[in-house]
Amino acid sequence: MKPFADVERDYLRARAVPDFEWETNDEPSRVNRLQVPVSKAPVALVVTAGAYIRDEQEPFLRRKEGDPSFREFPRDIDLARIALSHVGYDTRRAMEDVDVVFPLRTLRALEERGRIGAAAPRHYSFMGYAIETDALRDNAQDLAGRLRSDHVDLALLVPS
Amino acid sequence: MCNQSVGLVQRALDEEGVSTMSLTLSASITRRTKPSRALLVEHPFGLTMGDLHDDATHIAVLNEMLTAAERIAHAGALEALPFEWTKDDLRSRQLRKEAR
Repeated sequence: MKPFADVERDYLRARAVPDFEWETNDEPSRVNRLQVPVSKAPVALVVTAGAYIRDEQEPFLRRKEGDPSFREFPRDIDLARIALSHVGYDTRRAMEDVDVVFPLRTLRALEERGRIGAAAPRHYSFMGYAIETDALRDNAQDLAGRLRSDHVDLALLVPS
Repeated sequence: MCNQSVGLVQRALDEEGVSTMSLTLSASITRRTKPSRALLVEHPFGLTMGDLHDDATHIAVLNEMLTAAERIAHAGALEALPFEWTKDDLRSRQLRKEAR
């Protein structure tokens, strides 16, 4: 069976970006070990579900180049206010239970059980279809600053 | 594409000193991006944590991420989680781009 990376590359070339190629790195990025046990760590979610707050934030752009921006969510957001805008997967399923792509309900439950120190004050969503990878990296650096200012010890990243 | 974006965002956070752990739905893409640490979960795209309202699986997947964040020190680690999608052939069709 053809690797999915090849299937997806060919699909993107045929449908949207004729010269599309995956970014390939020779070396992995570094591991930053946790400074405290998970049971004491503030934990943030960073997802690529295309989530935004209905009637408050702009939906993600549905264009051939994608959208490298992100949206911010307070930890106590009413999950019913979260909408999804994403060109890469059928969001109708996840709209019935957004936890499948943005597991904030589950993170809160793990906080209540004492499994993590706390759900961080703010969580984030990109829309994973982003051809403009330099802009995506710039936005991720901005995000790192927000995580630091919230004293987040661990970021959990979830694709869709 | 989501899986490359997660990897690129994760790499940027790693370089900024943030401790990270990610899921991936595609090992072949993540092997190219090479973020610090990732776990493969073979659920359908758009159902990353498991089926709708399957709280037990959602908690189990997040628990695996937390445990791995404490355990894995090796940069470039990509480990497969023991979850299977047996409900239907959605993931198989997605892998052939026959379903979204």
